[in-house]
Amino acid sequence: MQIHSTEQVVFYLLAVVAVAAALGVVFAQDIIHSALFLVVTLILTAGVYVLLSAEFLSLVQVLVYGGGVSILVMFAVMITRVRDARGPLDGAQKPIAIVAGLAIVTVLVLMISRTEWQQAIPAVNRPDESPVRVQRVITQTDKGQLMSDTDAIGHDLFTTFAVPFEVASLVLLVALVGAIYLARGEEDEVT
Amino acid sequence: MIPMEHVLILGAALFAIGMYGVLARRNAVLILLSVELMLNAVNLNLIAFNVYLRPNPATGMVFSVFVIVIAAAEAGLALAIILRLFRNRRTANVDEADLLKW
Repeated sequence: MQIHSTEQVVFYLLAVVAVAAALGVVFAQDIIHSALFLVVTLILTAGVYVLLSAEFLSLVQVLVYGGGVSILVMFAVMITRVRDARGPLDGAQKPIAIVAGLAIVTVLVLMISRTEWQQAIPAVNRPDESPVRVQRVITQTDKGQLMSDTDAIGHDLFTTFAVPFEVASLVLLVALVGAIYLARGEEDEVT
Repeated sequence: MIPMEHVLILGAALFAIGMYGVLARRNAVLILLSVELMLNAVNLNLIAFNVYLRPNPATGMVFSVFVIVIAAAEAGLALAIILRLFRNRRTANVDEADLLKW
């Protein structure tokens, strides 16, 4: 394996730590540790997004996961007091789960390594032909101006994907109302 | 430029770890965390394919924005359900919520 650039070195560092933290999520025996490991994994993935020149998604990832979801999980852990729950955190089906996880990673890695990606990848994005330069996601508008990935996402979101965008906002609204309804206590219930 | 295969292998590893977590854990909050891990791996794949194979239009990135939206909605709803489960059954373990099991 040839290392072409510092970009690759940073990627391998991020990948190794992200996988280690992901293993921490599933093997930690304290639920708070699991949640914190998850935040580490998600923020390192945001770093990988930056290397893939998807800056907008990297920021969204940090805001949504690093901010929102982690706080939500912390609240759930605190309210359900699962720290002093009885019994282990893993079920009896753990051996089957290990076999299934190893099987799926083997199949996926075999599939990825046996596919001829070179034909599908456009010439500018092949590693041998652009060893140092960072290939940014720059697309052109109809008028020929260059767009960054944020521009491209915004443009596509409000033209091609306008209807799915509205549906997504509706889904968020329904989820919000549903979550409030479910989490709200009964009138006569003492919590 | 990072070889695309390596990004995909990172995604596959994260996905498999998340799947192991979903299958092995018995605490509902931990299962939810593992599902987030799997969704994140899928996002990584979508972005990698978008960047390397077809940068225009940015379909993969828009799709991963939607995945993040659904993941956030799902996290909120699932945590509300776990809260409800805990209030009714005093447990957050999925194998103890077996009222519908014959």
